[in-house]
Amino acid sequence: MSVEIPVTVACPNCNSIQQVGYRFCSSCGQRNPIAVQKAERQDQKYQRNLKFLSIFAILCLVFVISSSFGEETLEQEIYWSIAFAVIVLVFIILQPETLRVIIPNRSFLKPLLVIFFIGISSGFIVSYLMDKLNLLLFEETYIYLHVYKESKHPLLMALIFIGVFPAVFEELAFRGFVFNNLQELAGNNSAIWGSAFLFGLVHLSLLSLIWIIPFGLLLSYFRNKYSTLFYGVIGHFTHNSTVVMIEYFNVYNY
Amino acid sequence: MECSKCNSILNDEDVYCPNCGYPERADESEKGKYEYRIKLKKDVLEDAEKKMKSVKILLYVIAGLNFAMGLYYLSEDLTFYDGIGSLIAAGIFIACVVWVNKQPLTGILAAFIFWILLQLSVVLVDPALIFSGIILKVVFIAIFIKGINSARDYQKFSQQLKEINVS
Repeated sequence: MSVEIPVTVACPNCNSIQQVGYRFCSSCGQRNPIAVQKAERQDQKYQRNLKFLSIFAILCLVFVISSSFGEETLEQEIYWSIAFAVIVLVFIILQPETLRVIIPNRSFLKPLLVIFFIGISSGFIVSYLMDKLNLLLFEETYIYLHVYKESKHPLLMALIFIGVFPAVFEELAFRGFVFNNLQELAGNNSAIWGSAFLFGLVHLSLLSLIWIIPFGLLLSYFRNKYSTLFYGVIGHFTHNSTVVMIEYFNVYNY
Repeated sequence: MECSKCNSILNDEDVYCPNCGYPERADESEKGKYEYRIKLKKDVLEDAEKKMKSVKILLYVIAGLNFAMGLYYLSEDLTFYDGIGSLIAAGIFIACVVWVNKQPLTGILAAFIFWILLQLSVVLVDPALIFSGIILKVVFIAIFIKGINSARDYQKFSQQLKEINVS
C-alpha cells in the first residue's frame, strides 16, 4: 500500500491552494504559518544554545581562576578534578544529546593509530619545548608531578588525575558540549575554532596557548571529521600520559 | 512570467510571488508595503553591521591598551612575563578582529570570553582591582553583548535578503 504525499496545501488565510513549502501565499500574500513557526523554533533553539554556551564558558573561567588559588597539594588536585567533572556532568544532564557522539560508528583502527601516534609525539615535543621555553623565560622548569610524590603510588595517581580525568571530562566539555552548541549556533568551522580557543583559555597560561590551541584544533578536527569524542579522548590521554611518563622517568634529565 | 524582484517563475493566476512575496499583480499600496518590509530588514541589517563594527573598534582599542602596557612593563623590566603576556594578549585581540570578519558570532564570543578572563584574573593579584575602571568595563560589556546579539540579526537577515534575491 502506498501512501500519497500531498503536494499542495490550503492557505489558512484565504483557503487558496498552494504548493507544499511555499513562503508566501500567491493569492493573498500571507506568509506560510508553518515556515513562520519553524523560524520561531529555530530562534528559540539558538537562544537556548547561546545561553548554555555562555553560562558554561563563564563558569569555566570562574572555575579555573578559583582553582589556581588553592595550595598545591594532592587533596586539592583531586578536589578540583572532581569539581570540574561534576560541572561537566551537570551540563550533560541538561543537554544529554552530548553523549550521542561518544562511540565511533565507522572506520575504527586507522584514525585510532593516527591519533595515538600524534598524542605520543606531541607529548615528547611539547614537554621538550616547554621545558626549554620555561627555562629561557623564568629560569626554572615547571614540575607537574611534585604533588603526587606524597601519595603511595605517584605514577598511578598522576596517570589518573593528569591522564584519565582531563581526557574524559575536558573532551566531554570542549569537544562535546561546547562543540555541539557552537555547531548548532554557527556551523562546523566555528565549532572547531571556538572550542579549541576556549580549551586553550581554561588552561590559564598565555604561554601554553601556543601549543594548546593547535592541539585543541587537532582534537576538534577529529571530532568533526569522525563525529565522535572517542579519538579525542584517546589523543588527549596519550598526550598527557606521555608528558607524565617523560617527567616520571626523567627522560630529559632535568 | 518571472517575478520582477527575485526572478522565480510565477503562474498566470499568482497575485503574489510565492518565493519572495512581491505583489506582482496587486495595486501600488501593496507594493509600497512590500518595499517597506524590505526596508525594515535592510535597516536591521545595517544596524547589526554598525554594532559589529563597534566591536571591532573596541577590539583594536583593547589590543592597543595591552600593547602599550606590554611595552611599558618591558621597558621598566618589572617582570618579563607581564610584558610578554600583555603583548600576546594584544596579538590575540587583533587575531579576534580577523576572526569576527570571518565568523561574526564565534569571533565576538571568543574575544568577549578572553576579555572576561583577563578581567577576572586580576583577582589573583588583588581582588579590589576588579572594580577599577568599572564604568569603562560596563561600557565594554554593553558593546560586546550588543555585538553578540547583532551577529544573530546579521546572520538571519543577510540570509533572508539573499534568499529572496534582494541585495
